Amino acid sequence: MANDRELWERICRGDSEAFDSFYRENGPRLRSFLRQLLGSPQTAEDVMQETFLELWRKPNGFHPENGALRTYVFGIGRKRAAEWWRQAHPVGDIKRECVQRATAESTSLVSDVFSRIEEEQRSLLWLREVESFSYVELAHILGIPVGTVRSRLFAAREALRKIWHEAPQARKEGA
Amino acid sequence: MNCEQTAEVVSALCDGQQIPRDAAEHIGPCESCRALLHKYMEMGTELRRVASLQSLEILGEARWSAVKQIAPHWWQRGWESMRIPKFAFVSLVVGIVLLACGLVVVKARQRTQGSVLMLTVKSSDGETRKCALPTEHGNRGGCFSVKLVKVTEANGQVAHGWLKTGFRVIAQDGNRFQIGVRTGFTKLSPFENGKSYTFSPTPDEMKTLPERTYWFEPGERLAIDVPNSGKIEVTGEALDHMPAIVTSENGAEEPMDPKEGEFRVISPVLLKGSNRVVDLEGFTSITNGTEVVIVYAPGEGRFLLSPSPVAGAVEGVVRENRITFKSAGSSYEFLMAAPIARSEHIWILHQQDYKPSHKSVGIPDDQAFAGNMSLSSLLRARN
Repeated sequence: MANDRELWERICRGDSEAFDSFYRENGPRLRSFLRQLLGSPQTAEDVMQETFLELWRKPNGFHPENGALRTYVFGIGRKRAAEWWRQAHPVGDIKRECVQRATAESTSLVSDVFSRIEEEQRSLLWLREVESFSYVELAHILGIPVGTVRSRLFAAREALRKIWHEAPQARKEGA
Repeated sequence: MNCEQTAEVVSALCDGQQIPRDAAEHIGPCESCRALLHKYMEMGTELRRVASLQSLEILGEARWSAVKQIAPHWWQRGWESMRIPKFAFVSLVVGIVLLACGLVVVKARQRTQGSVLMLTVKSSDGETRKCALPTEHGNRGGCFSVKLVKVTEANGQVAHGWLKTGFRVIAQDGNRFQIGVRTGFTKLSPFENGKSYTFSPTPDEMKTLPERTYWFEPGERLAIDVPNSGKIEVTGEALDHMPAIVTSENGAEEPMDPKEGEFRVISPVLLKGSNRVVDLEGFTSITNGTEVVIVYAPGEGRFLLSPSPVAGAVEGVVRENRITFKSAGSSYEFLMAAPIARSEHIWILHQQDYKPSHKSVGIPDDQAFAGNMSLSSLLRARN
């Protein structure tokens, strides 16, 4: 894959092949992330599609000097997820909400427990542990100061650890 | 150190961060801290396992592939190689758009009559931009812009934000000008720096900022304090005409006139009678005449702007940065931020019943947009 500036310039020129390659590489990853935020696989798929549609239609929102294209896409995806959440839950706040995950959707105990911590903590942990974004990139995606990423990651890990620890042993064994 | 003090450091260790020596010395032999580290790593491993399972699921049909991309913008292609300061260029374009929106007749040509106060505005980060203000009474207009600036806060951290500035000439007394200045600063979160923004505030938005007045004489240096963003410095010179070029600090010049055969649509505004029906600020299309520009205005339908005759299209008259035409019994006018073409005519095909949702998935009918397409593609789509 070409570097981000080259890739973005190709996308700006309407190079659908370059965009398709980027989509195939990052679409499943973004969809997985969104599923952690939204709970529903279908909604996550829809929001992921909207995110790539937006980037394709208006690539000028990305500025290569501000970071990687992948970081930008995850940032848009998270924003779209928040917008979807606001429309679906007019009185709720995605930042404070936990996802109601159907048992059939649970891939493991951690997946189930994960859905019970706050959205920002879920986002931070997933993007760090699964997507390996740096602290600076995490700050960009979540719109928080870089200096607070370390402490917030710690709080997220602790939140997850405590819920996991409190989960009934029987469920752990059955997971 | 104790376990409570090192807990956050254990978390940072999972992220590959360097940790202080005293913390490292504590964690090494501490069973409790090592158990915590193991737990954190186990949780991370589990999340990656879940992600691996989900990533195997089939990717849905790419909806973006069914949608025509808004064409690559001229400013995107030329942005990096632009020789003039980017914000100087944007400011000039924006200034012209806003003047045009206010129906103040200001032509970016040398033959424009009347004097101009050309201000150079230097923000706290040292960058400058130009602001051209016609000084003749009744023809003054204003110059508004937004600029992304970096500021150093009291705690030493660097922050970003939008610096809004607006200038207008209120009165003139010999060589002295009374100018009205509106300023404001909006701090952004780090992520917002990567977002796409329009480049100018609306005149209404600017009116919410308090206006201060100053008497200013070209050659003087005026320092204006902007809360949370430091000072801006204003210098200026009086010109006997609106310049046809953007002049940078180092004297580089860019012509405003279109090239032979060029068709330019920059930040189009569509008026129906005297009402503004759509404002697509920021959209830019510059083609060599082989493509057409489409503008969709909710409630009005789609307008195809072609440099060549098209069956069913009406002939529009081009006057520098304006195209006037009649359709369905109404008078329309497109205003652009720069001269459109050397030709005196552009053909407009007005499709009143057009709705984006009829053609493309995911595009709402209530949002204006513009784009390019080849004429042959358009005709195929109509059939």
